[in-house]
Amino acid sequence: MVASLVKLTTLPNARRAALATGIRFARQQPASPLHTARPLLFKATTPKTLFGDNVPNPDAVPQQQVSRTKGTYHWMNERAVSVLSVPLLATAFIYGSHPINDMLLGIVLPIHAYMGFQQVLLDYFEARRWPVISRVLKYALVTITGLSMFGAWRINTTDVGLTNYFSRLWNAKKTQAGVYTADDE
Amino acid sequence: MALNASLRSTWNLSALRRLAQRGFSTAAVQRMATEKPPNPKTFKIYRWNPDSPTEEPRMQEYKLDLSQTGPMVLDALIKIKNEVDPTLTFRRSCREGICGSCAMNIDGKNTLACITHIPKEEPSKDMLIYPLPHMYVVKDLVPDMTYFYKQYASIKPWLQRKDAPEANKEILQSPEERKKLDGLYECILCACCSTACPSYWWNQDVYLGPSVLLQAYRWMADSRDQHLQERLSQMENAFSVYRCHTIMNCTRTCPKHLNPGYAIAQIKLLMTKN
Repeated sequence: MVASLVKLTTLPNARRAALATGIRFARQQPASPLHTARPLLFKATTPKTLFGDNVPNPDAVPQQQVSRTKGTYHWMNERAVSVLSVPLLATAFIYGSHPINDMLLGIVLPIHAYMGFQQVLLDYFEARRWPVISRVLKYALVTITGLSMFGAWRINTTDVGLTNYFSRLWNAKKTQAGVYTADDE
Repeated sequence: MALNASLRSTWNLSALRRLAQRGFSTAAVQRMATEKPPNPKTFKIYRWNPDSPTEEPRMQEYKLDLSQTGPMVLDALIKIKNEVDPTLTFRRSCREGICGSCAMNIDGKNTLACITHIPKEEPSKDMLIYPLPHMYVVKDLVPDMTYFYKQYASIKPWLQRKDAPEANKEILQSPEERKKLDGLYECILCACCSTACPSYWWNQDVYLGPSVLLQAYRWMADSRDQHLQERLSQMENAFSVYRCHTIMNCTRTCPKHLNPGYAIAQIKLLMTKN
C-alpha cells in the first residue's frame, strides 16, 4: 500500500526514514485552483487504525452510481419498517398475545434490526476499508437475521408466542438455586 | 504615549473622553489593562511540524496573563505568536466570524477562535486548542481543506438554468421564495459542522458532510435554479447524503447558529417526493 502511494526511490533520506517507521504519505495532489496550501507531501497518519485501512482522500470527489434502491428506497423502507413496528408493539403491550400479531412481530422486528445493523456495517466496515471482514460480517448479519426469524417462527408455532415469551422473560425471578423461572406458572 | 498621557490628564472632559473611547480605543484598552490584577491562564495547543514528520504531534503549553490579553481566543493566539512563539501556525483573517478561517477545536468544541470568549471565571482550567478533528494537518492548527472544497465544488454551488432570462431582465423572486434561503445563505463554510460529524469522520471520502449538504440544499431551495432533478439524482446513492444519521452534532456546533441537520432532512424529504 505504501509503495503504491509514493515512489520510494525518489524520496529524500529523511522521508525514507519516516516511511520505515510506519508513517504514510498521501499521494501528492496535482496543483489545482482550489489548492489552499503548498503541495502536501507530508500527511502523517497512522498506517492502520482501529477503523481499518486509512483511506486517503481521492484526488477528485468520486461520481457515485445513481441507485434509488440503495438511496431513497432503502431509506424509505427503513422508515416504513419503523412505523409498522409501532402498532405491532402497541398491540403486544396493550392487547397482549395474539397469534397474527406475534407472527408479524417475528418478521418485522428482525428486518428492523437487520436494516439498523446494515447501516452500522456501512459506516464502520465498508468494503473499501475492510475488503474481507465487510463480506464476512455482511453474510453473518444475513445468517443471524434468518436464524432469528426462524427462532421467532418456532416460538410462535410450537411455544407460547413472542408476546408471552417476552412477558415471561420480563417477569422471571431468580430462585434459590440460581435458576430463572417464569412468575406466572 | 504622549497622547495617552494627555488623554489621561483630560479624562474628566466628557467630550474628549468620548472621543478617546471611540477614536483611540486601543489606548483605552491598554489603560484599563494596566489597572487589572494579573490573571494567568494556561493554553495547551496542538503542535505538529511537517518539516520533522517523524516527531509525534505534541501539546505545547503557553502561559498568558489574561489581563493583558484581548477577550477572544484568537486574541490569545495572536498574542502568543507575536510575543511568545512565532512558530505557532494558525489561519485567521477577518477576526469577526465572517470568513471562517480560524475554525478550530477549542475546549472540545469546533468553533471559530475569533468569536469564542476565553472563559475568565476558571483561570485554573487549562484551555485546550486542537485543529479541526479528523482532517489532515498541514501544520499546527492548520487543517488541509482541499478535499472539503472539492466536495463543495462537486455539488455545483451556482445558479443553473435551463432557459436564459430575457435580455436585460432579472429573474424575479417573491419574498416567500427568498425567505426559504434564510438560514442557508449565511453559511461561511468553516467546516466546523462537517468535522464534528462522526459519519464524516469515518466516511469523509464518500459522504459529503453537513456543511456541503447545507449548501446543496441552499441551491435546491432556490426558486431561480432549474436543475433540482440533477441535484437530487447526484445524491441518489448510499453515501452522499444517507450517511447522515441525524446525530445533530452539526447543529450543536455551528458557530453561526445555523441548522445543517434540518437542511439535510429537507434534502431527504425532497428525495422521497421526487
